[in-house]
Amino acid sequence: MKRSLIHKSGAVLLALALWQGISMLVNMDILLASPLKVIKRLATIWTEKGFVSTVLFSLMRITCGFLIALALGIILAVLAGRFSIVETLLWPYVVTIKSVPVASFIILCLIWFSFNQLTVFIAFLIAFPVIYSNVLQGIKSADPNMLEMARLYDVSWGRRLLYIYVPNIKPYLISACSVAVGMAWKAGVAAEVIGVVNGSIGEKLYNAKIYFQNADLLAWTVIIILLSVVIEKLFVFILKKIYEGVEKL
Amino acid sequence: MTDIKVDGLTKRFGEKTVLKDVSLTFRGGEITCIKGPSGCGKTTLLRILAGLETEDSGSVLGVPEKVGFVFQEDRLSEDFSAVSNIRLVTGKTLPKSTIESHLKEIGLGNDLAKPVREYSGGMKRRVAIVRGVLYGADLLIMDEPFKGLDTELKRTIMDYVKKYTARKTVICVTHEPEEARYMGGILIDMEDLNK
Repeated sequence: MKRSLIHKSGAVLLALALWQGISMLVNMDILLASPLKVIKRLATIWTEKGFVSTVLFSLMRITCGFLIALALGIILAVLAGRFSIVETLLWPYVVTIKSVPVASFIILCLIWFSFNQLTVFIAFLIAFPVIYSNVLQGIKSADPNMLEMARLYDVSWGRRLLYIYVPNIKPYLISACSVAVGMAWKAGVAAEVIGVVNGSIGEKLYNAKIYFQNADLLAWTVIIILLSVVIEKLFVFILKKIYEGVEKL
Repeated sequence: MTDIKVDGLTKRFGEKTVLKDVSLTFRGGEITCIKGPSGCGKTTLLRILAGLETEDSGSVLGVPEKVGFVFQEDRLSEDFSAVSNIRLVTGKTLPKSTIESHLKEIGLGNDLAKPVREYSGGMKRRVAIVRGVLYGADLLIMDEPFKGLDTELKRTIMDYVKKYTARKTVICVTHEPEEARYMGGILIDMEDLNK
C-alpha cells in the first residue's frame, strides 16, 4: 500500500516534470502554461470576486443532476429487475442516451430549456444510464440460491429487496457512482462551455479560451478535477454509511 | 400430522436418471433420516418434496403448504446479522428476543451483533438450522445439516432440532449412520429405494 503510494507519487511528479519540460520547450503561455504558473494562478483565483458563487453555481447544478439520475436510476432499475416489461420499455431510451453524442444533447437542450436547467439536465442525462445499467446488473446477478431460498420461505418482495438485492447491488452502485460523478462533471461543464452559461465554471473556461488565458483554463480544470474527486469520494462515503445503517436493521 | 406419500417417483437430468420409480412414506410427526452415497438422488428427492423440482413421473402427496428447508449451502445474507437472516423468513411474527434466545441456546450468544460474514462455517450452519426451525413449518427438510461439524456440536444441534420439532415431520439427509441413530426415528437407505 505504502509502496504503491510512493510509486504513484513518483509517476505524478514525473508527469508534472514532463509538463514543465514541454511548456518550457513551447515557451508560449497562451499555448501551454507551465505547472508552476498554473499553481500560482490557483493561489490567487480563489480570492477573486465571484469565485465561490461560480463554483457553487456549477456544483449545485451538476450535483442536482447527478442526484436525480441516482434516484431515478435506482428506482427504475429496481422496477426493471422486478418487471421485465419495464426493462424492455426503457431499453430504447437507455441505448439512445448512451449512443448519442453529448454535444447533440447539449444543443437540443439549448433549444428546449433555459440556460439554468441545461447543466442539471445534461449531468442527469449522462449519469442516468450508468447508474441504471449498473444497478440493474447488480439485481440480475443476485445469487439464485438465495432467491430460491426466499421463494421457498415465501419471503415478500420488499424483504427480498432489502436482504438479497440491496447487498448485491452495493459494489455495482458504488462503482456506478464513482464513474457517473466524473462523467456528470465532464458533461455538465461541457454543456456550460457550449451554452456559455452565465456565472458557471464553463463560462470561465470559455472566457479563458477567448482571451488566451491558458493558465486560467488549466487552473479551472484543476478546480473541476478536485471538485469531481471530492464529490465522488463524498457520495461513496455516504453510500457506504447508508449501507452500514441498512446492515444494522 | 399426515403422512407424506411418494409413489413411483422418477426424475431425469438429461440422460441421467437420478430417481427411478421411488416409492416410500414419510410418517407424519416423526423424524426420518435418509442415507446413501453421493449422487444417489437424496437431494433431488428432498427438492421435489419441497416443490423446488418437478418430477418427470410419479406423485407426492401430503406435503404441507409451509415447508422449512436447511440447504446444503447456508444461503445466508452475509452482510446482515443472524437475527436479521432469521427475520428474513419469519418476518416480525417472532419477537427479536425469541430469536436471540434460540441463537443463544445453540451457542451463538456472544456473536449476535456481528454480520454473518464474520461467522465461521459452523456458526453459519447453526444460523441456517435455527432459521429452518423457527420458520415454524409442519415439515422441516434438512440436507446434510451436520456436515463438517464436530461431534459435540452435532449433538447440541441435533438436541436443539429434536426439541423444537417435536410432533413435526422432519426429513434429514445424512452420510453418517451415527447421526441417523442420534436423531432417532426411521432410517431409510436411498440405495434400497432407487434401484
